[in-house]
Amino acid sequence: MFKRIMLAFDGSKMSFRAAEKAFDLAVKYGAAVEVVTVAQLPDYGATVGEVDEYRTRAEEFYRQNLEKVKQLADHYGLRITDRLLFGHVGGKLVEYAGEGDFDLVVIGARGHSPLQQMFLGSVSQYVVKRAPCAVLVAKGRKGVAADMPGASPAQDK
Amino acid sequence: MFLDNVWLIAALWVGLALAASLISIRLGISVALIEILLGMIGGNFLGLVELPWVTFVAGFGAIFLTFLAGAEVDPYVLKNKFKESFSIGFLSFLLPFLAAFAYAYYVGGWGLDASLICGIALSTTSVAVVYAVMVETGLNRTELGRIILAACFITNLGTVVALGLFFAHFDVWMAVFVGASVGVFALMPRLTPRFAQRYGGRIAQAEIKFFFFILLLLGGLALKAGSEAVLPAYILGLTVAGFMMSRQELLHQLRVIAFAFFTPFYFLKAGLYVSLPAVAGSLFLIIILLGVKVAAKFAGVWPVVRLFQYSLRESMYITLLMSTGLTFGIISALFGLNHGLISQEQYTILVTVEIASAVVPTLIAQTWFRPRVKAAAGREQG
Repeated sequence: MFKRIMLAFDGSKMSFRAAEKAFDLAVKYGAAVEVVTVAQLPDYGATVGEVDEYRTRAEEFYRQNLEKVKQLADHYGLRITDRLLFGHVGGKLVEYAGEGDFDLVVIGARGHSPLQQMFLGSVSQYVVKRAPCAVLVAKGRKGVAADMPGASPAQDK
Repeated sequence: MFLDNVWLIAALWVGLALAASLISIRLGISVALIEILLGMIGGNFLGLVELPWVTFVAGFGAIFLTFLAGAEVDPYVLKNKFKESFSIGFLSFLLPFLAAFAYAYYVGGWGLDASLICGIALSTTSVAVVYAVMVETGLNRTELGRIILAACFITNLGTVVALGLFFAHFDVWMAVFVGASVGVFALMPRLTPRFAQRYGGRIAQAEIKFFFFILLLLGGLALKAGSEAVLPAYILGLTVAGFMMSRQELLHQLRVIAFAFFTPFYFLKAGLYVSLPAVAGSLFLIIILLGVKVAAKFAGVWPVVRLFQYSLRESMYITLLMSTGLTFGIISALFGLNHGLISQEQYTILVTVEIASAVVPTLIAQTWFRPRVKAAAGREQG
């Protein structure tokens, strides 16, 4: 049923929960998993350095968290590929889901308050509305991965 | 209200800078742009005022920012792709400068000095806006991307040279300034690594003080010559760009100092003098000047890019990105305001056009003309 699964990953507890779901499905259907992280750069920066500082920080964050996802994938006996993209998170995930010919996107719900939802929207909602393939939104607070040491609290990136 | 209390005034300025940082982190928009917007709110609604010490800190912020912009240039790309980057960059400066000057002078009825400032401010290209967009598309890793970034440097060099020369006094102080600048620029590429090797990496921060000293010295001489301190700062940055490429931690330290204290005052001050009633009253002129800037960039950049055999889509994309502006445009406009060359209303118009030029061409380029950079396969893990 699923051959290529894209795991949208931001290092939050919910994205580790999404990783569990993605890896479960990958094992069940023999699918390939690509872990995709999108880092947002500052729009309309004043200097190249301002942009570069964000970029360097994002790459460092990505490297640290990817190691944890890799360990989780090992636990499932899976080999994964990964990609770090820059841009607006929702738009870039949708774009890459199309470019990469994925047939499922797995993403964690972020658990915003109603007020935050009103002002900031939700990346998962954005992806559900616009993705060119099926989308699975992981919810709930229980799970092995969500309790992994070092998993970051849900955050905007 | 509390003009005699220096700490409360400082708290208001730094409080706005802090708010700008928090909003910037939350929204993913450059802190500089948010500082300008909060400066506008401060000036129009909160009674934010500029005191002499603010003028100094903000002024040094502009010099420091320009130095950093010069130090972030990749000198090797500039050297290796000089023909392409110079052609694109020079025309990207010249045509918008002439077009905006001509429109302001002949159609807008602005005075000569004000029209020159208009031309200079609208000739700029925002390297940072271009760079961020390129990182997103992956173009920064391509030859085309590197050429565009080098071209942006040439464009802004045209801006600072024009700013430094048009209003300068050609007297003995100019000779002293030019002589000292040429000497320092020639010495810096060799002197800086030696100085850093001998005195760098200690808590006394001799390297940073060394840069500050040279910047202030050349800035002071530029002022005596009636020129502008950002001109030597930009070229000084370029002379140490090669050294900085191997000393990224020093560049990071300099950015931390700049963004923590100096540039917030500069960008807040840039917003402080924007009059919101003037924005509303001059909306039509703002739109026209934005159109003039973008049209002139097209006239200058597009044919050259096509000449270098780039596709129609790539040519449109490059030209739109080269039409963006922000930092150098605002530096030029603030120079004009500080020296009484333009009125507050004209300053408001120029700053608003520059902010709009950071946003509008970027959106059009990203929405309709983004080149298709081939996505590489993801790296395998596990």
